[in-house]
Amino acid sequence: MEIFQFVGLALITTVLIVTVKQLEGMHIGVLISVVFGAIIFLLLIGKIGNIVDILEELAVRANINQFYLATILKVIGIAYIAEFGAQVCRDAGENAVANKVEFAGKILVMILALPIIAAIVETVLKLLP
Amino acid sequence: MGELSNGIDLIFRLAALGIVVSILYSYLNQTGRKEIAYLTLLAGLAVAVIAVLPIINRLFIEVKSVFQLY
Repeated sequence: MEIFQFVGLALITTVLIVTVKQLEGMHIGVLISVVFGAIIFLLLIGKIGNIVDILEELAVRANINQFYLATILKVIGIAYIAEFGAQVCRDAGENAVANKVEFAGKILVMILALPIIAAIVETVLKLLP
Repeated sequence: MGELSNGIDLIFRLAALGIVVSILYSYLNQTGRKEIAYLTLLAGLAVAVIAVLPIINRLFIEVKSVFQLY
Protein backbone atom coordinates (compact mmCIF):
# COMPACT_ATOMS: atom_id res chain seq x y z
CA MET A 1 0.00 0.00 0.00
CA GLU A 2 1.80 3.08 -1.24
CA ILE A 3 -0.57 5.49 0.44
CA PHE A 4 1.11 4.68 3.76
CA GLN A 5 4.45 5.73 2.25
CA PHE A 6 3.01 9.06 1.16
CA VAL A 7 1.29 9.76 4.45
CA GLY A 8 4.40 8.81 6.42
CA LEU A 9 6.55 11.03 4.24
CA ALA A 10 4.04 13.86 4.67
CA LEU A 11 4.03 13.51 8.47
CA ILE A 12 7.83 13.50 8.68
CA THR A 13 8.05 16.50 6.36
CA THR A 14 5.44 18.41 8.36
CA VAL A 15 7.30 17.83 11.62
CA LEU A 16 10.59 18.93 10.04
CA ILE A 17 9.06 22.07 8.50
CA VAL A 18 7.41 23.07 11.77
CA THR A 19 10.69 22.50 13.64
CA VAL A 20 12.72 24.52 11.15
CA LYS A 21 10.16 27.32 11.05
CA GLN A 22 10.26 27.63 14.85
CA LEU A 23 13.96 28.45 14.68
CA GLU A 24 14.82 32.03 13.98
CA GLY A 25 16.06 33.61 10.80
CA MET A 26 16.08 30.75 8.34
CA HIS A 27 13.46 30.48 5.61
CA ILE A 28 14.34 26.97 4.54
CA GLY A 29 10.89 25.58 5.36
CA VAL A 30 9.60 26.77 1.99
CA LEU A 31 12.37 24.89 0.21
CA ILE A 32 11.58 21.72 2.14
CA SER A 33 7.94 21.93 1.11
CA VAL A 34 9.00 22.49 -2.52
CA VAL A 35 11.14 19.36 -2.40
CA PHE A 36 8.26 17.44 -0.85
CA GLY A 37 5.88 18.49 -3.61
CA ALA A 38 8.40 17.55 -6.28
CA ILE A 39 9.05 14.14 -4.73
CA ILE A 40 5.36 13.33 -4.47
CA PHE A 41 4.87 14.19 -8.14
CA LEU A 42 7.96 12.27 -9.24
CA LEU A 43 6.69 9.20 -7.40
CA LEU A 44 3.30 9.49 -9.08
CA ILE A 45 4.58 10.30 -12.55
CA GLY A 46 4.70 6.68 -13.69
CA LYS A 47 1.06 6.14 -12.83
CA ILE A 48 0.08 9.43 -14.47
CA GLY A 49 1.89 8.24 -17.58
CA ASN A 50 -0.14 5.03 -17.54
CA ILE A 51 -3.37 7.03 -17.29
CA VAL A 52 -2.31 9.22 -20.21
CA ASP A 53 -1.46 6.15 -22.30
CA ILE A 54 -4.88 4.63 -21.66
CA LEU A 55 -6.59 7.92 -22.51
CA GLU A 56 -4.68 8.09 -25.79
CA GLU A 57 -5.65 4.53 -26.65
CA LEU A 58 -9.31 5.31 -25.94
CA ALA A 59 -9.10 8.44 -28.08
CA VAL A 60 -7.64 6.46 -30.97
CA ARG A 61 -10.38 3.87 -30.65
CA ALA A 62 -13.09 6.55 -30.55
CA ASN A 63 -11.63 8.21 -33.65
CA ILE A 64 -11.14 11.51 -31.87
CA ASN A 65 -8.70 13.95 -33.43
CA GLN A 66 -5.29 13.56 -31.76
CA PHE A 67 -4.92 17.32 -31.73
CA TYR A 68 -7.71 17.71 -29.19
CA LEU A 69 -6.27 15.17 -26.77
CA ALA A 70 -2.81 16.72 -27.03
CA THR A 71 -4.33 20.12 -26.26
CA ILE A 72 -6.15 18.76 -23.23
CA LEU A 73 -2.95 17.14 -21.94
CA LYS A 74 -1.03 20.37 -22.41
CA VAL A 75 -3.72 22.27 -20.51
CA ILE A 76 -3.51 19.79 -17.65
CA GLY A 77 0.27 20.11 -17.54
CA ILE A 78 0.21 23.91 -17.55
CA ALA A 79 -2.48 23.96 -14.88
CA TYR A 80 -0.48 21.59 -12.69
CA ILE A 81 2.77 23.53 -12.95
CA ALA A 82 1.03 26.89 -12.41
CA GLU A 83 -0.79 25.52 -9.38
CA PHE A 84 2.47 24.14 -7.98
CA GLY A 85 4.26 27.46 -8.34
CA ALA A 86 1.36 29.50 -7.01
CA GLN A 87 1.00 27.22 -3.99
CA VAL A 88 4.67 27.61 -3.13
CA CYS A 89 4.41 31.40 -3.38
CA ARG A 90 1.28 31.38 -1.23
CA ASP A 91 2.99 29.19 1.37
CA ALA A 92 5.74 31.78 1.62
CA GLY A 93 3.13 34.50 2.18
CA GLU A 94 3.46 36.15 -1.25
CA ASN A 95 -0.15 36.23 -2.38
CA ALA A 96 0.48 38.85 -5.07
CA VAL A 97 3.14 36.77 -6.81
CA ALA A 98 0.93 33.68 -6.58
CA ASN A 99 -1.94 35.55 -8.24
CA LYS A 100 0.35 36.62 -11.08
CA VAL A 101 1.49 33.04 -11.64
CA GLU A 102 -2.12 31.89 -11.81
CA PHE A 103 -2.92 34.71 -14.22
CA ALA A 104 -0.08 33.64 -16.50
CA GLY A 105 -1.32 30.06 -16.38
CA LYS A 106 -4.85 31.12 -17.31
CA ILE A 107 -3.63 33.16 -20.27
CA LEU A 108 -1.47 30.30 -21.56
CA VAL A 109 -4.37 27.85 -21.23
CA MET A 110 -6.61 30.30 -23.09
CA ILE A 111 -4.10 30.50 -25.95
CA LEU A 112 -4.00 26.70 -26.18
CA ALA A 113 -7.79 26.48 -26.15
CA LEU A 114 -8.42 29.14 -28.80
CA PRO A 115 -8.10 26.79 -31.84
CA ILE A 116 -10.71 24.45 -30.34
CA ILE A 117 -13.05 27.36 -29.61
CA ALA A 118 -12.57 28.55 -33.18
CA ALA A 119 -13.39 25.06 -34.49
CA ILE A 120 -16.59 24.98 -32.43
CA VAL A 121 -17.63 28.41 -33.71
CA GLU A 122 -16.94 27.32 -37.30
CA THR A 123 -19.04 24.19 -36.84
CA VAL A 124 -21.90 26.22 -35.41
CA LEU A 125 -21.68 28.67 -38.31
CA LYS A 126 -21.81 25.77 -40.78
CA LEU A 127 -24.92 24.40 -39.10
CA LEU A 128 -26.65 27.75 -39.35
CA PRO A 129 -28.49 28.26 -42.63
CA MET B 1 11.99 2.72 -4.00
CA GLY B 2 15.24 4.39 -4.93
CA GLU B 3 13.70 7.73 -5.80
CA LEU B 4 11.79 7.91 -2.55
CA SER B 5 14.85 7.32 -0.33
CA ASN B 6 16.78 9.86 -2.42
CA GLY B 7 14.08 12.48 -1.90
CA ILE B 8 13.71 11.81 1.82
CA ASP B 9 17.48 12.16 2.05
CA LEU B 10 17.26 15.62 0.54
CA ILE B 11 14.49 16.64 2.95
CA PHE B 12 16.51 15.47 5.95
CA ARG B 13 19.63 17.20 4.68
CA LEU B 14 17.72 20.47 4.23
CA ALA B 15 16.23 20.24 7.73
CA ALA B 16 19.65 19.54 9.25
CA LEU B 17 21.13 22.45 7.32
CA GLY B 18 18.38 24.76 8.57
CA ILE B 19 18.87 23.71 12.20
CA VAL B 20 22.67 24.03 12.08
CA VAL B 21 22.58 27.39 10.32
CA SER B 22 20.01 28.85 12.69
CA ILE B 23 22.02 27.68 15.71
CA LEU B 24 25.15 29.29 14.23
CA TYR B 25 23.13 32.41 13.48
CA SER B 26 21.85 32.83 17.01
CA TYR B 27 25.31 32.10 18.48
CA LEU B 28 27.00 34.68 16.26
CA ASN B 29 24.21 37.13 17.01
CA GLN B 30 24.64 36.68 20.75
CA THR B 31 28.37 37.29 20.52
CA GLY B 32 27.74 40.53 18.66
CA ARG B 33 29.01 39.58 15.17
CA LYS B 34 25.93 40.60 13.28
CA GLU B 35 27.44 40.79 9.79
CA ILE B 36 29.00 37.34 9.98
CA ALA B 37 25.71 35.97 11.29
CA TYR B 38 23.84 37.42 8.34
CA LEU B 39 26.42 36.10 5.89
CA THR B 40 26.09 32.63 7.43
CA LEU B 41 22.35 32.79 6.91
CA LEU B 42 22.81 33.86 3.30
CA ALA B 43 25.33 31.10 2.59
CA GLY B 44 23.04 28.48 4.11
CA LEU B 45 20.15 29.66 1.98
CA ALA B 46 22.32 29.59 -1.16
CA VAL B 47 23.45 26.02 -0.42
CA ALA B 48 19.82 24.98 0.13
CA VAL B 49 18.68 26.56 -3.14
CA ILE B 50 21.48 24.87 -5.06
CA ALA B 51 20.51 21.53 -3.53
CA VAL B 52 16.85 22.04 -4.46
CA LEU B 53 17.39 23.17 -8.06
CA PRO B 54 18.10 19.75 -9.65
CA ILE B 55 14.92 18.19 -8.29
CA ILE B 56 12.80 21.09 -9.56
CA ASN B 57 14.51 20.75 -12.92
CA ARG B 58 13.64 17.06 -12.97
CA LEU B 59 10.03 17.83 -12.04
CA PHE B 60 9.72 20.26 -14.95
CA ILE B 61 11.31 17.82 -17.39
CA GLU B 62 9.00 15.00 -16.32
CA VAL B 63 5.90 17.19 -16.55
CA LYS B 64 7.00 18.31 -20.00
CA SER B 65 7.48 14.79 -21.26
CA VAL B 66 4.29 13.34 -19.77
CA PHE B 67 1.95 16.13 -20.85
CA GLN B 68 3.74 16.67 -24.18
CA LEU B 69 4.53 20.32 -23.49
CA TYR B 70 7.16 21.29 -25.98
